[in-house]
Amino acid sequence: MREILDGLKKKSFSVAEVVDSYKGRIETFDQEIKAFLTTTFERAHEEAEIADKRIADYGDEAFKQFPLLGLPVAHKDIYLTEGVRTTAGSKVLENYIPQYSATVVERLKSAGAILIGKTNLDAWAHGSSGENSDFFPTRNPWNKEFVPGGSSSGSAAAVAAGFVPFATGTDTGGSIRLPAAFCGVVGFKPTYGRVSRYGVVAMASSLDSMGHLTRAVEDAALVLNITAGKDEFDATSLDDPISDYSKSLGEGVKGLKIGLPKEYFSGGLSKKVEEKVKEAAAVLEKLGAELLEVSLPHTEYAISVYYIIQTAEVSSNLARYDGVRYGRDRSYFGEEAKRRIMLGTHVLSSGYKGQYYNQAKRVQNLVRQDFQKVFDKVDLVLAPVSPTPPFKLGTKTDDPLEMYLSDVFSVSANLAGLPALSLPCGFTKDNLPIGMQLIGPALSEDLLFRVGHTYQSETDWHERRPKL
Amino acid sequence: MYVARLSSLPVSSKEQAFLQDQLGRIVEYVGKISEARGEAKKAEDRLTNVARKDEIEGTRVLSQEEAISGAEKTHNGFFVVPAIFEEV
Repeated sequence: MREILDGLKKKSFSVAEVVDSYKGRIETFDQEIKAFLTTTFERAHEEAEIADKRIADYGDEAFKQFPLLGLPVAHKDIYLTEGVRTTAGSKVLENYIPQYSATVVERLKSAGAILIGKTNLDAWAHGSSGENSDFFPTRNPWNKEFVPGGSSSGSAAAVAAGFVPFATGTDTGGSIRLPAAFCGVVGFKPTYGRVSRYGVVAMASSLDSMGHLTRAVEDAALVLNITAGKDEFDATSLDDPISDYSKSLGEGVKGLKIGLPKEYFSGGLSKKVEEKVKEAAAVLEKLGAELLEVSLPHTEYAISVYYIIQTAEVSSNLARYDGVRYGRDRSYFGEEAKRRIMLGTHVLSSGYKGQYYNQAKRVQNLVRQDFQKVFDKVDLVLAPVSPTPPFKLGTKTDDPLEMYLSDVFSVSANLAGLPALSLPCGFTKDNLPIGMQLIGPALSEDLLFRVGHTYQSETDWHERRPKL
Repeated sequence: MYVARLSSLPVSSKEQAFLQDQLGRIVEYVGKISEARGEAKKAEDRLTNVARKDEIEGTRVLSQEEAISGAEKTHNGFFVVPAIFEEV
C-alpha cells in the first residue's frame, strides 16, 4: 500500500491508472477465482477522478487529510454499503440495497479509499471454507481445486490474487485468520470492541470482530489507524484511546516473551503445519525473543463453547430476516444457516438452556482466565491457525462437525475477545500456503504488528505471488 | 421438527431426515462442556450497561421512503405483513 501511495505522491501514476490496473486484473482472472459478488467499477472510476483532482489541487496535503487516498478496497459482502447491493452471501438478501453504510465503510471512504467491489463469503459468515456461499464457492488463487478458507473467502482470495491492495473481513471464530492462512496473506482481528460493528450484518454480536486482510503487516496497521476507535452507534465499542499503530513497527522483538500453548501443538495438528509454525517461532527467537511453553487447559472445550454461544446468538440475530421489511422469506436460508439457527434455538430453549448455554458461558470464562494467566507469564502467544493446510473443495462438506473442527485453534481468541494476527509462514510441498497466528492481550494490537512486522522483515513468505 | 417450528424455519421431510442426525451428533459433541472443571467468575462481574440519551439522532434516521425501499409489498407507505387473523 505504501508503494501505491508513494507513487501517487510522486505522480508516477494516477489514481485512475491504479483503479484501471486492478480492474483489469479482476476482469481477467476473477472469472476463475470468483472472489467478487459485485463490482463497482463505474463508481470507482468516478471516485478516482475526484481523487486525482484532489492530488492535482493540493499535492501532498491531500494525503494528510485522506491517508488512504486512491487506494482501492474491497468489502466483505457483509458490510453494508449504501446504494450498493449487500447480500451477506445469502439468497435471502440477493437483491438487498442498503440505505446506509457501515461505520468501517464510511471511515475508509472518508480516508480516501475507493470501493471496487463486494467480496464473496460463506452465507451469513457461517463457514470455514467459502463453500457455504449461496452463490458459488470462491477458489484458492494458489490452486483452484482448493478452498480459500472462510468465511472471508473472497476477501482473502482477492488480496492474494492482487485484485485489491486490502480488503475487509469479519472474524467471529477465525473467519479472517483462517482464509488469510490458506491464501498466504496477512489477516488481522482486533480486540473485541476496538472497531465498530455498526452497519455489519451481525452473526454473533458478542464475538464478531471487524478486521481486514492485507499483504503486509505494515498495511494492516495503516488500515487500523482509520477503522479503530469509539463509535457512538456501537454501544460495545471501546472508549479506550487509539494510538498510531504504525509507530512501533520497527522496534524489534528483543526481550519479548512468546508463549507456545502445548494444547495447540498436539492431537489433530498436521505435521507440515507444526513444522512451519515452529520454524516461525525459531525465527523470532533468533531475533531476540524468548520462547516459553505455556498451557491453555480449557482448549479442548473451546469448540463446544463456541458452537453453543455463537449459534445461540445467530438464532437471535437471524430472527429479523422475515422477508417483510427487506429481503426474501426464511425458506431461502441455506442448509448451514438452518442448521445453526436450529442449534442455537435448541441450546437456548426451555429445559436445555441451563445445560448448554449457561454452562457454555461459564466455560467461556474459564477460557478467558486461561489467557489471563498465560499473559502474566508471556507477552503474546504464537500458535497455528488451522489444524491442516488448505484442503480440496468438497472434502469436508459432507460432515458439518468435521468442518467446525477446522476452527479449533481460532475460536479461543474470539471467546476471550483478544486481538490476533495471522501471518504466512511457509508452504506445503504442493505450494499451498500455511499460516501462523499471534494472539495478544486485549488492546495489544501495536505489539502484534511490531512482532509481525519484525517477522516479515526477516522472511519473504508474504512476498510470494500465486501464478493465476 | 420442534426446533424448526420454534425458529420459524421451513424444513422439508427430506431435510429433516439428515438434519436431525447431524444436529444430534453436534449436540452430543458440544455436550462435553459438562465435564469442564474450574472456578469461573461470573460474566456479569466484568460487564457494564451502556446507555445513551433517549433522543432522536438525526444523522442515522432513515426517511420513510428509505425505510420501505426494500419491501416487496407496501401499501401507502406501510409494510404489508402476512395476515395473522382471518376475517370473520
